[in-house]
Amino acid sequence: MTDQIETLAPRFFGQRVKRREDPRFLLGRAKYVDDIVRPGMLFASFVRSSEAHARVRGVDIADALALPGVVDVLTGEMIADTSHPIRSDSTMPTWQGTGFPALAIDKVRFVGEAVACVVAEDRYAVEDATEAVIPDLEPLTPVANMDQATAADAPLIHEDWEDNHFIKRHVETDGFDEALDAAPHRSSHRFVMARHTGMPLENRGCIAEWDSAKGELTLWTATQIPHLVRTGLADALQIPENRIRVIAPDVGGGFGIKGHLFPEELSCSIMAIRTGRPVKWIEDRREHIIACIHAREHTHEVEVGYDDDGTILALKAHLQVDCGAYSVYPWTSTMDTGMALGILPGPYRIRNYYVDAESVATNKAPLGPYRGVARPAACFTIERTMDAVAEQLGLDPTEIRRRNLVRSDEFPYTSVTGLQYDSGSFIEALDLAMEKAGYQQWRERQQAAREEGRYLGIGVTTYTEQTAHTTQEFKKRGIPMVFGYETSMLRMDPSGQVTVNTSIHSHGQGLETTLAQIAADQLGVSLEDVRISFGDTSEVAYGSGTFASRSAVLAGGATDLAAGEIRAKLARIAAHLLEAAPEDIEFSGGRAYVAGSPDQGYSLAEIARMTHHNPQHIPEDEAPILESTRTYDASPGNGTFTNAALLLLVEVDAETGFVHLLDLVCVEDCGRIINPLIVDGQIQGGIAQGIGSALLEELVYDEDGQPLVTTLVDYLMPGTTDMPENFEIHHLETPSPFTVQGIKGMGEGGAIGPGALVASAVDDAIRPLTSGRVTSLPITPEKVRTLIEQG
Amino acid sequence: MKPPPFEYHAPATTDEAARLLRELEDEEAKCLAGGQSLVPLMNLRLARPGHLVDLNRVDGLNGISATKDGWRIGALTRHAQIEDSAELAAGLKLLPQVASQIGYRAIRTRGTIGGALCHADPVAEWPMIARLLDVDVEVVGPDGSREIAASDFFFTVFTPAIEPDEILTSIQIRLPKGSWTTGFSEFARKSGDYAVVAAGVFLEVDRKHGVSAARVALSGVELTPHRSEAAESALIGTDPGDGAAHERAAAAAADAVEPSGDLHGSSDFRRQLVRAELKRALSDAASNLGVRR
Ligand SMILES: Cc1cc2nc3c(=O)[nH]c(=O)nc-3n(C[C@H](O)[C@H](O)[C@H](O)COP(=O)(O)OP(=O)(O)OC[C@H]3O[C@@H](n4cnc5c(N)ncnc54)[C@H](O)[C@@H]3O)c2cc1C
Repeated sequence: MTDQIETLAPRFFGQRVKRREDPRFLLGRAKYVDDIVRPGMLFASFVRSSEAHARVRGVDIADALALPGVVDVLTGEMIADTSHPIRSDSTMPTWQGTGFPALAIDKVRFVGEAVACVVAEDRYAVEDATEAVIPDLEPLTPVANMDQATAADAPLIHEDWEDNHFIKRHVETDGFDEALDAAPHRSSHRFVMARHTGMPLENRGCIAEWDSAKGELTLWTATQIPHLVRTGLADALQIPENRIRVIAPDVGGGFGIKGHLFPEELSCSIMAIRTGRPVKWIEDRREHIIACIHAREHTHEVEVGYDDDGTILALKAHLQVDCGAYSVYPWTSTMDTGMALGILPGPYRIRNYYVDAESVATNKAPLGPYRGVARPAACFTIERTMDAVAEQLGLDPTEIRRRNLVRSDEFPYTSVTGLQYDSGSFIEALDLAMEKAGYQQWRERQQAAREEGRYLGIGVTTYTEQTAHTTQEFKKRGIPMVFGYETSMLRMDPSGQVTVNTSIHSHGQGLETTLAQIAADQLGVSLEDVRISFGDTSEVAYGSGTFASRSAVLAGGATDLAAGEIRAKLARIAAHLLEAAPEDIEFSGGRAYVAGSPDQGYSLAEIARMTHHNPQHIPEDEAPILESTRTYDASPGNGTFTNAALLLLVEVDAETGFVHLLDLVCVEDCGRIINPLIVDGQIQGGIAQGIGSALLEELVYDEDGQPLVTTLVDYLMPGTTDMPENFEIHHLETPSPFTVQGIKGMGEGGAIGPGALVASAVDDAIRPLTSGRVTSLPITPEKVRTLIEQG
Repeated sequence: MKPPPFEYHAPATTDEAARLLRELEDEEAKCLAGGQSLVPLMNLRLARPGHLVDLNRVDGLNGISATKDGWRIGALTRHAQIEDSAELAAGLKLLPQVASQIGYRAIRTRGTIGGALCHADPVAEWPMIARLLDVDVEVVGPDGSREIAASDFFFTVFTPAIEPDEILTSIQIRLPKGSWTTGFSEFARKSGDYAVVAAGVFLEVDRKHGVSAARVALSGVELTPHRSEAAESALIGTDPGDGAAHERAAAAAADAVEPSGDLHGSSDFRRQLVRAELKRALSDAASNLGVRR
């Protein structure tokens, strides 16, 4: 009998459940911002700066206003007194802050910065009118890169600053100098990661609508963080938050890039208020490339001290991040610097550490978080360093890592920067990757190929990834908002159906499926009985949104807790009805019954109906609703650490420098897996993006701060055919001791390793041809050729 | 990304199209073929034609046919038609081979060979192949038709030597009588992307004396497709399968060009690519020898 009950209660947790959101996306039935049409809607377009650094002497809008269909034109000067710029300040020492105005007021600070906003009756008319607006810009000396920005006589980008630094940070362990001096071997390296960014299929876009009767603003916007956008808008526009409703409908990819409040959202809101009509703006690809958030531009200098065995004794680093012109909301310009500084030692037992880290301002588009945030650069640097040390000592690159990785018996492990690695399988993951790849066979293939004059190379990378960090971590980072929790509000309606309103947003992560799995398991109902709702601030409880690999852990945890609370209440009601003890009530197949006698029970629909419609039957002290709102912060809030090991086999075409990706093996440990199908998809997508960083993607600026890459003709992105020919993913499951169900975040991880991995493999391939090594990303064919030519 | 205002015309014949082009010349009228180059340029507002004369409804511009000494390909023939053509696969497989390298399949189902020639992009495949095969380009204007040799057709970057009121109607490919072979190779940063450098070779081969005539064309090295006389003369009299001869010809071609560099490759890198891709094209040609083309 018990066996039968077990099969009646399928556990969705851990199953490869197909994504329930996919039919909507795959059949073109999703509804994005651009699919929304409001009555009387106008279209907005932005006049953007053609100068990297210039004084705004004026903006001539007369011609534009006279064009057919044009309704209004707005300049920075016109709104300087009525709206506040977007502002996000760090609370840390040395911080120099700045507002990011909706439209440039006295100065423009990057090519693409919005100077004026035009609205017209249709998209064609508005683009015609945009051309007719003539900004009068007096060029100033541009600060196009970090060398220019940090030069002694550098022009100031923000005139009230002392220099062009958002922040300078320093961390040093006791006795660092002695430790480094005592190291038998030392070597120095410089690593550079090019500026690039997330390129979602759907660009940014929003519709702002003002209800003048109620004094209420609605903003549909393609965002990952609807509540934070609402807070930011309220602050900038001085409208109370309960008069602003932000709706993030289906969003066609975010990758962190859509986790910001943008000047364009502010301008559209102001325009909606001014014109009294809904205002739609849909970003085009050129705008996305030059004027959205950029990412990843890091330069790292390191000095490493190590002993004869390859044990790393000390690590000294100087990290510089080109943060562009403005501090971004809500992250500030400290994120990349802080993350890189904290995680640089990576999965290795490095106890002596010294780091200087700077966020540098330049006349380029603002830098913000993109899947992986700083960790791709940190991983590139520490992994390149490991490879270099291995080479100097004649060690196999897997061996140097094995000797330095944190061992399983050391968890929880507190890193030299104070991060608490909760659990992990650093060495086991490496071993499994080597076993699955057939590392020795790869080496034999490499040898055989070399004899034929072909250049195969093997790359290795390991990393650990902080995920789902909350209060303790964000508090340390000195950003104004501490992203401490997520919220889920569960409701069972009178028909026994469940709705989960959650503060996160799902835009490709499969959370409509994973959260339903969790709720359905708690309540013993089918997935079809659970509806997941998110994105509308008027429907869901406050929370931060989707970023930092947090949603499955935090919204999953909150959903689990809220569902557990409803389950407990259902158990009390059922026990009352069945004259049994609540502890004896079991749930499965959409029923609650006395353990051991499934016939003795009620369907949840019956209990739900009774609760709402015949409350006389439920216990007197129970309120006649089935609702629970819970927040979850995965305490202690330092985050839970996922880890991975990757091996890659490449062939380098020595004549052209082209890198062919042959076999990739990824072993990932993200604790207990809710849905392996979704986890694999996230890893594949992340790795694809990482391969873009490794080989293709680069936002090039010239010495005057002019972007040279403005369309997808020049911004190369990987496609399916650019993925490795064989691509395997394997899992280890080391539960987190801290989180609900032992789950860990993993959404960003895939994007972290490939830069380091491909570099490691390319170096290994061209070793017989050159002493040159890859030190910068992307690894273009031309760079490979240059290394080969240098011999 | 919306174009400035323009008027749209859909003539049914080439004569009507040419007449429209002449009448509207002052307001910058342009032909619309597959739209795969022109429409993006209009959306970026880099091209601002006042009128579009759509050729897609004009009769007789589309199709591949064998002629007594070669092939005639209509201007409106899509890249994908060439890629899929069984006759060409059997008769001149270079063309399907090249077509398959242009952009992505979706682009190829719309883009046309005539459009690609008139667009005259220095890194595009068809202009280079037109130079390689010494095709004749047939154009029709309000005053009648004329043929332009491929060597005269590409004036400079993005500029064909045709008048604003002329329409490209077809290309004629004339093949020699004796034994010949073709080879092609290109370097692109990723599959489906524009080539950085591409090389095509056409070799006439004599059983006794090896290569009796050679044509070598390169894209991505100059403002217009380049014919490498240095490589051509280096190949004469060599065995078509002689790797050392390929090496010499490729080096000669590379030494003779002065490509200008851009984001996708510096001058030196392009020269190195010429060397690598030409060698590959020559070995492709050698392997095609004897195979029915
Ligand atoms: C994503 C993408 C990738 C691409 N990749 C490649 C690639 O790898 N290699 C490559 O070669 N091309 C590539 N292209 C361009 C593509 O091949 C175009 O189809 C081609 O360049 C133009 O052909 P079309 O028929 O589309 O011409 P259109 O865009 O319609 O016209 C191009 C120009 O030619 C003129 N024109 C067209 N037909 C005639 C005619 N019969 N008579 C007179 N003038 C005419 C037009 O007025 C216009 O000036 C790519 C395009 C895209 C969008």
